[in-house]
Amino acid sequence: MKRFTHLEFDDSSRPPDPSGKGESVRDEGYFVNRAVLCFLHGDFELALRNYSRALEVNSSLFEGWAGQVRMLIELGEYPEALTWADKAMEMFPEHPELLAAKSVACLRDAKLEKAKAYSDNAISKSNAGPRVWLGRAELLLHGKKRIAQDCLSKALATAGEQSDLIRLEAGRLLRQYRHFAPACEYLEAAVRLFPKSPMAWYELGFCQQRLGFSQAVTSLEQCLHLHPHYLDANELLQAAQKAGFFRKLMVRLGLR
Amino acid sequence: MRCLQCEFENMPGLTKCMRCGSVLQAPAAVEVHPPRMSRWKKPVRHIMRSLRQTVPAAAWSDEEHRFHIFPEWLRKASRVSFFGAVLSFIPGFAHIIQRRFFSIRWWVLAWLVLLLGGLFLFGSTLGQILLGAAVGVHVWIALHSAVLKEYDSLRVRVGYYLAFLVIFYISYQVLGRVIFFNMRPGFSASHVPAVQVHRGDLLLGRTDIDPNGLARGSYVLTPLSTLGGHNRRSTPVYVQVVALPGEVVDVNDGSWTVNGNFLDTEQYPIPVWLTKLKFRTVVPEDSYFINAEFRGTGYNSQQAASVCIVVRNRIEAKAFMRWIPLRRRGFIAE
Repeated sequence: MKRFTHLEFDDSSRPPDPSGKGESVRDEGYFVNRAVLCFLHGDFELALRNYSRALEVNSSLFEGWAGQVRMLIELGEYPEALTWADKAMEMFPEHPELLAAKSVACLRDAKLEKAKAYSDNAISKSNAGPRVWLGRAELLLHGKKRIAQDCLSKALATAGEQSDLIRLEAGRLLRQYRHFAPACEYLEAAVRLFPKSPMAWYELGFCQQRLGFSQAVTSLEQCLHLHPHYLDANELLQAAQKAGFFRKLMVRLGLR
Repeated sequence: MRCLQCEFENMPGLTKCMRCGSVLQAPAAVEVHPPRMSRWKKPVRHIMRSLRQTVPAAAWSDEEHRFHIFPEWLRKASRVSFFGAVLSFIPGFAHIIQRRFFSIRWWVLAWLVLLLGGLFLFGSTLGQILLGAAVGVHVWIALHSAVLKEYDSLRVRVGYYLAFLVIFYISYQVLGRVIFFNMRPGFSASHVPAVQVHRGDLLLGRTDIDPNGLARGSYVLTPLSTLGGHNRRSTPVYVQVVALPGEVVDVNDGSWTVNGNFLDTEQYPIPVWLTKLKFRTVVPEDSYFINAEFRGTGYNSQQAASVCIVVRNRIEAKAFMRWIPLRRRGFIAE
């Protein structure tokens, strides 16, 4: 059974159980699940807070530390992510995922030499996980290397029970580096796996819009249906709806 | 006790895994809330990141991650000769972007000391030497940002150094005129010990003056003309205004009168070359009568009178400060 198969999204239609029976125990696993949910909602700030709360319960939880570093990267706080990865590595020395996270932070902070060194170090470890390969793929995508696709495949192959999330992250990565067509493949699979994730729908809608597909409107509407205050999606939807033939052509040709 | 990371079975009581070094039992009080970025840092970091991304520099680029904004043939040249030097026009700025300012800090300090020393002694020989050294150090800082990492050949390095030296020298000249746009230095051609202005002193003057509103005793910057060379452009010097437009000047036996009043020879000493002459002249409405120590030899009275009169529109600045020598540095009293 996959790990995130039974993630429950907020469903206000379901009345709370007054007896309190069946209420989940608020252990570290609960907060990690909440953090993943927030990530899928595109709310990285709240995800970071949930990872912190998971660590308040159990400070030796690796997933909590790694998740915090990932969220800091998502929030664009790269020096803080590096600092926090260093702190996490005091507890988990030379952990490849933390090294990979540092590599990504350096890469996005435009420190290529360091990013490459961290990635090399991470990949040389025997227990290199899927995020190590994702980090490597990002480095190669930045260098415009075709082998990046192989790294993504490797990441999926080593993902195991995390493959759903890794697929989504791979799609986001490809979208970030403007490989919209392969990104669409990953993201279409991701929205099937996480149909209630506004972020997955937004990412898919973004790629479809860039490829000039009319399904972009549907995807973005779905995103807004799930998360009405998703500002990026709202803007993109308006742009997609207003786009005329010429603009679509420009987008299709990659001129916009 | 089993390690969560490598699953190695450790002896009880250990705090770290014997195999991988991971913490087996987390410390009781550990900070779990990460540091956060201040909001004001966001745009600053964005700018620095953009610069690192768009400004290629040897410090962070390598063969695999070349930037693709320039063609290959231009990439290295642009990186070396353009961006590093342009950014280093503020000494150390390229290093700050490259995050290696520490390696250059003493050079920047030396540049600053030389520059300030050169400006303080501006106009003297030592001042010129210090300013030249400041330019030289500045060029070295600029080359250190990229060129010295790129090239090992002494010949190439020296070539770059000389080329940048010329460029920076010109830039300093231009920048000096831009920053001090309304100030003009010049040497004094008048000798007035009463106000501590000697011939050859370096005076500083302002150009934003009203040429119609000059007072007697002001020091003004003007190119001196000699007889027969009125149209030739000579180096401007500071001279003392003795008589204003419309006034009548009498030179007689080593003294002069203006409108019949004797001028104090302490305040308005008559120059040596005029002491043997005797003449009377009326200053035209658009001119001033000036006192300059040396105007040539062999003038008769009429010629001397004409060369002592300076047309208003040839006055470039009015002195406000004695700069060099240091012992006489100070503001000139009106």
